Amino acid sequence: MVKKRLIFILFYHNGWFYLSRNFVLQKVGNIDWLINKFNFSNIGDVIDELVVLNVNRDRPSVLTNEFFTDIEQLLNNVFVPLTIGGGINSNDSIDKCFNFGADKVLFSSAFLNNISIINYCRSKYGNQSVLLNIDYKLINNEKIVFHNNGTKQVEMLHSYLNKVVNFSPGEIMLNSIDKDGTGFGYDLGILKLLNNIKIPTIISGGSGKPEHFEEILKFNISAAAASDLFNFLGTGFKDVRKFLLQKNINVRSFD
Amino acid sequence: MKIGIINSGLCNLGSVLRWVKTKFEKFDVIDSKKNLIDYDLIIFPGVGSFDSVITFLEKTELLDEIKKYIDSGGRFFGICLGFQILFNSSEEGKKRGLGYVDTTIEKLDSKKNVFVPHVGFNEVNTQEINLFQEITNNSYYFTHSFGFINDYKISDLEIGTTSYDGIKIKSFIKKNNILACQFHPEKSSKAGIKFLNILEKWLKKD
Repeated sequence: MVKKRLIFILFYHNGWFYLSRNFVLQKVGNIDWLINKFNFSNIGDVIDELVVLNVNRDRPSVLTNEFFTDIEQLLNNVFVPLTIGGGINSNDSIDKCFNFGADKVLFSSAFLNNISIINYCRSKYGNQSVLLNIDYKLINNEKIVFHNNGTKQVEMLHSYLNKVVNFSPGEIMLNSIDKDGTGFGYDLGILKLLNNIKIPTIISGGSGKPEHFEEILKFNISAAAASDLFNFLGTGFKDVRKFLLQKNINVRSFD
Repeated sequence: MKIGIINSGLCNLGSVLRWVKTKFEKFDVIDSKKNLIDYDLIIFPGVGSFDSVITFLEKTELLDEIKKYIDSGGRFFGICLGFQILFNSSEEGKKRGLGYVDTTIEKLDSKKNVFVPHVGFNEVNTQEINLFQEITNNSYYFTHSFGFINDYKISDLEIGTTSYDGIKIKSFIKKNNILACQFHPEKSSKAGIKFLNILEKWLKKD
């Protein structure tokens, strides 16, 4: 059987990496720091996929050449599936990502604002190359979708999710803004919305310890994502994997 | 050893090059018409849709060059879409494939309601294929919505299989001088690096 995935999300902007908490970013180190501190060349032993988000909370992100140069350095001798997101605003930027070596591209706001680039990606690189991310938070106890880095309220999550499922992207990522970076655990309330969806789903936001991964991966969820560098990139993900294997969750064992 | 890598403009090229470089120092990237006969190995990676890659091959006339190369005994290694183009056709598109495997690539959920795409690490069983037994018990990274899932059998086609949600995906094939995998060894961490050793062994074997 296909194994459940542990995905790591890196927030990148202008040569620096960031921690995110409730969508507020905090600068933590540059590329050399990341590679050396976390022995990045061995990252493929502990994570199943890497997502690099090119973030800019102030204005729309742009995929610069510097972005690709930095990520190239990061991926030296690292052979893991790669998703790139943030600043994907044209067909050309999509081509650049794949030519660089990405396997998937992550879209968020484009689902409503620029669907034609998602259609371009799908028809050229196949449906499996499209990862559709949904950021949501609770407003008066209702789950509401937000665009533009959590600043623009869009609509109720359940109706938005229906539209996304009908569009049928390769994968769906559900990211709780309330849980983001808290370490308090994933939003388990999301699970009941996903019962009949036959598209691989990634849950993101809130993981702080191995038990949190088990809480969602024991259900029919394809992957769990984490983005806390300090908590997971060192020995953290190793411990998570060991714990999940003990709990008979079908994740990849160590090579 | 002369190695050529086809760049259709529809693949995760950078990742494939970084991966091949860990084993083979020199290789050519081929993106236009070229006689391939002198190569010892042609690698065909692909992340794309079936018709777009066949269209590329038709436009550049590489379709005929690759066929000539394979028919004269040249070793060909296909990854993902490079696996699927070896078939007659695919439910993903209308174009004709290269036709080395006389059947069709089908949508994974065409017979049974499984999650599509099939994405993540999964095991490959190649116990029946002598040289490639080492692949068995390793997990490789998959990401695909279409695959070789029918019961087609032919005597000179050796097959490795992967279980997914109650269906059996034929994820690895060997037919004489053709080798191809549905999974992505270039994305499979240590198992993928080991895979290059197997590839090298195959090249050295007469």
